Amino acid sequence: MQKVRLVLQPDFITNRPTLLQNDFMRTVFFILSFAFVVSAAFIKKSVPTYSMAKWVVERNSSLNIQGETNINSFQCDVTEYLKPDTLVYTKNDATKKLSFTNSCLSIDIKRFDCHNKYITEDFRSALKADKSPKLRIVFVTIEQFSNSSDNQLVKGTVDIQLADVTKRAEIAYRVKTMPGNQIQMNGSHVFSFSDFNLKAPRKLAGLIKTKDEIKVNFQLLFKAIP
Amino acid sequence: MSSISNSIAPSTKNVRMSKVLFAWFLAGIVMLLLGLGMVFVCIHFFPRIADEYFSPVFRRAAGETDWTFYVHPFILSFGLKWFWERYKGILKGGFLLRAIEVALVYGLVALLPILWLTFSAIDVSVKMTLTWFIYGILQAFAAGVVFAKLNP
Repeated sequence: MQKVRLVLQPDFITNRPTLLQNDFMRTVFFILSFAFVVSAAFIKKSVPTYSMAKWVVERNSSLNIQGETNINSFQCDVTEYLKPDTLVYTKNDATKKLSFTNSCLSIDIKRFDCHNKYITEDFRSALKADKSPKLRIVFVTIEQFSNSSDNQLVKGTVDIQLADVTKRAEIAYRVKTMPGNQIQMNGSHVFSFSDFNLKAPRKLAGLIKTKDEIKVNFQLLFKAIP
Repeated sequence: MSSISNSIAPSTKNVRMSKVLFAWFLAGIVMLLLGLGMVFVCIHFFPRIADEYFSPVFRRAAGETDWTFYVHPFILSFGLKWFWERYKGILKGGFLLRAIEVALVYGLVALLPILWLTFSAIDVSVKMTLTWFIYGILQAFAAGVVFAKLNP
C-alpha cells in the first residue's frame, strides 16, 4: 500500500506524488466536484422567481348578499362597482401563488339594494352603515393561479372588514380568463352577522327575525396589467 | 247575627276579588296566545304585510324591551276588566253578544282614534293599520267571552 505524505514543498523538489496524483484522492475529488455541480444546478432550479402585476377592478363587477327571514328570503345587490380599485400582487412563478399587497375592494354599504325598502333600510342599519359605511374585501393570497384558466377552481384567502371587525375567510373562486386581459372570478362564502359582532335584525320582540347566516356571492371582473 | 255577616262579608269579597283577578289573568293569557297566532297568520298568509315590520319605524328587538310586547295583553286585559265590571250591567244578551259589544266599544272608543293618530304620525301602511284594528277587535272579543263566562 502506497503511503501518501503531505508536504509543502513543490513537486519538482520532492518528486513525490501530490494529493491529486493519488488515484483514490483523485476519484474522491471528481466525485465531489460532480456532486457540487449537480447540486448547484438543482439549487438554481428551486430558487423561486417572482413577477409583479396589477389587476384593475372593472365597473361591472357585482356583489350580492343572500339571507333569509322567517317571512321570506331576500337578496341585497351591489350591481355596479364604481371605484376603480387596483389589486397589486407578486406571483411566485414556481408555485403560481399570488400574494397581494395593500389590495382591497371597498364597497359602500349604502349602495346595497335589497329590492324591498323596509329590508334595505333595516339591512343597512344592521350592518351599521352610519358608523362604518364601507365593506372592504382585502385580498391576501390566491393559490395555484394560472393566466389561462377556463372555469378553474382556485383557493384564496381574503380578509373581510365590516363594522370595524376583520374576519379572515378561505374562498373557492371559479376563475375564467377572457380576451382583452380580462379575468373573471366568481366566488361565495357564508358568514354570520355574529362574525362581525352584528345582530341579525329582529322585530316585534323577536317574532319577526332574520337568520344569522348570510351568503356573500361575488362576480368580480379584473383587467390584468402586466 | 251582625258579627256573623261581618265575618262572611270579607271572605265573600276575597272570593269575588280572586275571581276578578283570575278572569283578568286568564283573559291576558288568551289574548297573548291570540296575538301570537295572529302574527303567525300574518307571516304565513300575508308576508308582504309582515315584511313591513322590518321598517325602521319599528323598534329593533332587544333583550331589554322584548318583555313589554309580551306584557301588553295583560295591560289591555286590565283596562277591559275595569270596563266590564263597571258597565256589564248595561250589556244585555248571551255571552257572545256581550263579548261582541265589548269588542265594538273598545274598537270604536279606543282603537279607531289611536290607530288614526298612529297612521297620521308614523310611516305605516293602511294595510298594516287595518291588521292592528282587526287584531285589537279580536283580542277584545276574546277577553269579553272570558269575562262573560267567569264574571257574568
